[in-house]
Amino acid sequence: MESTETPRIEFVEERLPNGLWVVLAPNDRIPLAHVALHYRIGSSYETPGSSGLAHLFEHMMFQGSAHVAKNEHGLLIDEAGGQWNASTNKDRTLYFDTLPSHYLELALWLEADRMSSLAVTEENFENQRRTVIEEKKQSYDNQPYGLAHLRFDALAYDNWAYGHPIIGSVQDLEEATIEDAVAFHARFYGPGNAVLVLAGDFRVEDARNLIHKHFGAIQDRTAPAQPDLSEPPQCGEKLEELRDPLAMLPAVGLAFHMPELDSPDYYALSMLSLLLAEGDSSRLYRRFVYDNNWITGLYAGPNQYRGPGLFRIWFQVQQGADLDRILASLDEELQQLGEKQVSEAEFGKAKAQIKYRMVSRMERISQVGSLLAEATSLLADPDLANRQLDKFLQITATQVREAAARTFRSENRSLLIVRPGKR
Amino acid sequence: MICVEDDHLPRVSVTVGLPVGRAHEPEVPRGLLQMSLQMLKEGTSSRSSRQIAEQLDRLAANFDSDLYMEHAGITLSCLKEHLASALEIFADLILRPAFPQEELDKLLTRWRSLLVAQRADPGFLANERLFLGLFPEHPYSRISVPPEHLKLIQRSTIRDFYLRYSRVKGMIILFSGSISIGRAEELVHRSFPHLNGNPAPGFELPAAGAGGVQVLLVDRPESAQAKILVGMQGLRRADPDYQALDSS
Repeated sequence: MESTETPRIEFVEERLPNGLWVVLAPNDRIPLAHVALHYRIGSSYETPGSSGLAHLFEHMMFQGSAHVAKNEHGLLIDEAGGQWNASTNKDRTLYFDTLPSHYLELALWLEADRMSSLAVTEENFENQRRTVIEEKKQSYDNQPYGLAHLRFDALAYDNWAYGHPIIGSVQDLEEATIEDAVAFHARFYGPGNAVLVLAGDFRVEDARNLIHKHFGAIQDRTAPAQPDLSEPPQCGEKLEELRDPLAMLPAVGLAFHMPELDSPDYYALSMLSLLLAEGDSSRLYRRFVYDNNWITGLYAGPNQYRGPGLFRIWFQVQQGADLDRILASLDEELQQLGEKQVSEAEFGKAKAQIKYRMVSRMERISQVGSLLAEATSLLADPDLANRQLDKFLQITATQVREAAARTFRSENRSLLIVRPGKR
Repeated sequence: MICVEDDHLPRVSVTVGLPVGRAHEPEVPRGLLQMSLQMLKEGTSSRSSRQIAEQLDRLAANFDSDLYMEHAGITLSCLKEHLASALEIFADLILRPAFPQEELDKLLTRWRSLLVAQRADPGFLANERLFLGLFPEHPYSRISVPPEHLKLIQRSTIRDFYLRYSRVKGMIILFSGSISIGRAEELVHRSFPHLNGNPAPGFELPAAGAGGVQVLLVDRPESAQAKILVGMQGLRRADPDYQALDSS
């Protein structure tokens, strides 16, 4: 058998005097460039009463700036043949542009302009407030299990920082003011709170010059206080049942507290998730989906938060299946993982799968950019993108058993059951 | 056979493209193509479903199928180091499927629930109605399978449909990733020997009637929002204006 050399992402990094952390990963395989700008601001930085502001602000960033008209950012990238978008999670807000590499300066200019001079106006703010409220309806209120997805973290986390939904509450969104938005931009949107990653076809010196030209003069005014993410130990099982008039099948969500991203247990439990639910021969898929036709839509794995994490399991229950029996059998499977070590043969499958997964996520320059940006902004270590596979492969079957025993305890479990029917 | 060599990652994908799609299925029962492709990994003349799952997972090899109106693709993706072993299994699934009754019964049970569950999705409901309005009594309106068709699907129906369409002229084997054309040819000759392309069964797509302006409604109680789709029949791919319309 030929052996596979695991590819490395070659990169250089630099800190600008204004604090901007720049990571450059040149690769001339195809004539495209990817620009990823991460701001260390996600919903966990919000305070009670201001939920949803981080995501609302993501929308505001497309409303124009000193030299760019409303929605022109997207139009200019489109006209260059590129793609653009943004996303907000609990820990960060990401803006990206992927475009033909000779247009790299356009993307840098656009990002710098809105970093330094966003047009926060009453009209824009009101318009985007309404847009986000409609987005909540579209993504959650009008979707089967949407309410359950909003409730899941709130049930599992006692700490509001990770417990409240990224989309926020309608009441908080309605009560947000333009003064909140202006203060938000000043506090979080500056070079000192950002990571800029370029991946793709460019020369490092050229990219550096462009970055200094467009970002170098931006003064840093940010003063982000780090949120308290600490989670008190859970002392007993939490259980909640919901009625969902849009659901056709019952569904179950389970969450177990676990340590944060990049901790030893994160790697052990990630390997364990492959044993449970990756591939047709995985334990839960084989028993629950395949042999018994009890469930569908199975997912199991750790979340990717920089703070205290959750190991989540989610599935829908097939028509006529016995929910109590399913939960008892699931408990049995999880307990067994903490008691009996997996065989080398079974563990070998997980190692092959993680290697495939880690190699595959380097296929596009946008993925390379995301890997570097996540590692830099969440863990202050861009090279972690290269070392992660080794960290996974160094995990032993004993570590997996021990992590399972620590994690899959009933008093560490939150259980959400969704039943079709009127609220 | 087509090979697109790209060595930047130690990964290879192999797609078998078939000139058969959802439009080739009979009006009743629908779902034969999708079900036959899903059944490929449920047993061959020499491997059980469980053995296939174990062997593919041990190689971290992904087996998947994509279904379109007029063509379909069956894809294997794996690391370069596992390609020879994975391709041998892949070829076995495509060339010697057994369509075991026991596995078909399980698949039908899973489908029953999935067909119920998809009716909770507002996007699905809107699309289903839109395509029925745009292409009345035309194969292009078939974006899903009516649940009552499932009881009409038998092992022989699926097997015969697959055998009829799976080894026809126009079939393509596409390699992409870290593999040379020479290596791809060697692997194809080893894993897919004696592959003769029979003429594809005759198929004539009926003309799509134009329905005029219609306003179609789907009642979905408890909805928090309306989903509005606007559609019209487009141009054929061969039409000289197709690219211009697509770009606009």
